[in-house]
Amino acid sequence: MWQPIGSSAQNSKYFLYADSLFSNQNYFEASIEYQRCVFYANTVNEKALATICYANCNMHLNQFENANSILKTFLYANVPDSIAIEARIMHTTAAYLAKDFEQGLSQFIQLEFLKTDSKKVNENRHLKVLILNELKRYSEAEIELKKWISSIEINNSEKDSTLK
Amino acid sequence: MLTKCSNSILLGFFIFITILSSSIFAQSQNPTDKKPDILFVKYLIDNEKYADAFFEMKNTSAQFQNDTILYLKGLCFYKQNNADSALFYWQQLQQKTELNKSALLHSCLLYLNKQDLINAKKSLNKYNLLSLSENEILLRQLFEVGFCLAQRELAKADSLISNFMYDNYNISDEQNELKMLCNRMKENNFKSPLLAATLSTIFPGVGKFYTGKNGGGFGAAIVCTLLGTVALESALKVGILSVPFFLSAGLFSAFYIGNIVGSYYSAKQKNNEKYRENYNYILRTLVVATDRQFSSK
Repeated sequence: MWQPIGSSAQNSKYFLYADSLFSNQNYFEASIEYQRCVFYANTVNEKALATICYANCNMHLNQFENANSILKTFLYANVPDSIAIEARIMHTTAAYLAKDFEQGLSQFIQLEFLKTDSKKVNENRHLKVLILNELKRYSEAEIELKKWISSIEINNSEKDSTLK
Repeated sequence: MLTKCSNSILLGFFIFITILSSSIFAQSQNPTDKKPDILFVKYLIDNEKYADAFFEMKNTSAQFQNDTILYLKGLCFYKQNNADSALFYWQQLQQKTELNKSALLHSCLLYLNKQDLINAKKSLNKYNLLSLSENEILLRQLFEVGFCLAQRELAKADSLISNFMYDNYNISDEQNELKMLCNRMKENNFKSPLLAATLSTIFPGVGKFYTGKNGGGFGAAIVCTLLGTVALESALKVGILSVPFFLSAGLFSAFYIGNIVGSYYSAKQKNNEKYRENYNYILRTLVVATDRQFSSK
């Protein structure tokens, strides 16, 4: 599961407190503190980070619909690519777990269009495979699966056995 | 000896600094310890995160559990349609505060939603005792009209509506809506259950036509006419002391009486539906006006 990145980027006392709650697995309390961070955020980056962390808490609380709806409100304008990629990946995961497959697929396709971090995209291609599988688009899922297997770092014999 | 002593002093100093810094860090660990963050709580309520808002308020120190917190706690439950919990917190509010005005009107709405007109009226009477601004007085008048309409006191409602000026943009829409509802209530008279039953006694099915249930009326008329014809035919052909007559006449009587009773209850049901529709309209109008009045506070 994705780790909190607030503490590395922010010195805000709210972020520190929220991260400490998250580290101690107090996800509900942490989610409230991250909402406070969203509320008091001064910059777009702060707000984006806090929103991702807040959605992440909801993921840990198994509230995938909530996480999905939180990330639907995420504003991608003026957000650095690194944060946008994290948000898209998390949104894809949340949408898949919330059974909102169309949304998940849409997010992953948008992630592919960013093309700034192809490694990250390939690492998470299995999400697209799972979503296409759920949408019963098996031929596309197979192509994506092959792409994913060829991109991951395992030896050829393992790749062949997985493909079979 | 001197080096040992200075080392121990240095060690003691480091321990002191460590304890001091950890205590400072512990204080900064929970920034919500000091006082409730009302702005943040309002933000959570606006975003429909009621459980989060309540948790945030619950975690504040006991010394800060003031009227604002009590009001907001009640508001969290009010927004979730949990009337009992909302009223529990709002009844603890001190009298003659601005928040109490909002709480009393919202309590009134909660009671109206439960169709408890007596307690709703009590809340409104308490609100009347407070010193009210011009807008709040207009809101009170709107509630009074709403009460009259809910109790079908149309003449009284009409006289109260005649005092409306419609010059305050804050409430003029709702004043117009209640005026139109009053006019509609005057026009569409409620169906009389006794008249429906009488009409069905004269001719089966007519009572149902009167209540607007044309299909039911048509069906009842056909069934009763057929059964009546069969009973009459049996009486004429076989005689009134025969089994076929008893069977057909029995069936006819059952349908005939059933239709009369059915017409009576159809009219009652129709009235209840119309009453519920009007009641919901009144409630919605009052909720909109109240929320608009107190949302900025």
